[in-house]
Amino acid sequence: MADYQASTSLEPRQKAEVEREGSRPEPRFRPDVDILESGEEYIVYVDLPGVDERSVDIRVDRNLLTLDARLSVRPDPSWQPLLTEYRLGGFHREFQLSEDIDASRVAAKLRDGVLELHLPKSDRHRSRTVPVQAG
Amino acid sequence: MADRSPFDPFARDPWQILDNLRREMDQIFAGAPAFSSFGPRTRPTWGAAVFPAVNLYDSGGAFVLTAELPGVRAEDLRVEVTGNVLRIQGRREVAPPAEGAVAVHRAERRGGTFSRAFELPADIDPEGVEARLDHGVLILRVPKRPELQSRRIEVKPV
Repeated sequence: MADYQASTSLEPRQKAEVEREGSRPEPRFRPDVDILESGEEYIVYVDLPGVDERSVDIRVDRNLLTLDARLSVRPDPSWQPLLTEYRLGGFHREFQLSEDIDASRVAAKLRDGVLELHLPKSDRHRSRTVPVQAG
Repeated sequence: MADRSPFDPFARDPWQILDNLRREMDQIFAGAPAFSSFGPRTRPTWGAAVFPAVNLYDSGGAFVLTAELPGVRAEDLRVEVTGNVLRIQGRREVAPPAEGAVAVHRAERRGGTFSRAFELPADIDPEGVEARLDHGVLILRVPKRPELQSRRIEVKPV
C-alpha cells in the first residue's frame, strides 16, 4: 500500500528502463503505477512526467492494457547540458488484467503529469449483486 | 498522522532552513563553466542523493533547472530564493483508494514531502528567477546577470 499520508520524506529513485529496441534512439522507461479494482472497473494511475494529452497512446484488447507515451516537455536543443541526474525518454508498460475491459467506455484524464484511467469491466465480468428473496 | 513531521516543508522556520543548509545544500551550479572550470561538468552515473533528481542546462542567458514532479500541484510546491540559496520544497499526494475499491493490485507511486536546496552562483539575478510546472515537470529559469551573458562580437573587415 502506498503511503497516502504524505508525511514521509520522498527518496530519489532511479527510472527503470524498458529493454531498448535497436532502432530506438531514446530509452523508454517503466512508469510507476497504482492499480485499483472495484466491482465495476479498474482504476489506474500512471506517473507520466513531461507527457501531454496528445502524446499518450492507450490500447485495450480484451484484458490487455498497453500504454505508450512520448515525451513532449523537452529541453530546448540549444541548451547546453551541465548536469544530468535523470534521463529523458518516453514510457511504456503493459498489463494483463484478470477480467476483460469494455474498451468503448474507457475514460482517461491527464493532469500534472499523472494519467488516470477508468477501465469498466465488460458486462459479463461485472460483479452483480444477486437479490435474495425471502421464501 | 495529524502532527507535523519534522520534514513538513511548510512548517519550517526560514532561519532554521538557512542553518540547516550547510550540510544539505547542493552546489551543482558551482561546476557551471561560466563560473569555475572550463567545459561542462559531467557525472559518471545517473541519479541524485536527494529527491527530486534535477537536470541543469545553460541556455546562454540563463541557467535552466528541470525536475520531474508528476502529481505535484502548483499550490503544493514552493520555490524560494533567499540570498544565494534556491530552495524547492513541496509535497506529492497520491490518491487514496477510491470509494468501493475492493482490491489494490499495484501501489508503486509514492507520496511524501521533499526539499532540496541549491547554492546559486554570485552572478545570477535572483529577482528574475521564474518557475513553471509543465505536465508534471518543474522548469526553473535562473537568469544570469546581463554583463555575464555571452555575446557575439562582430568581426569587422579592415
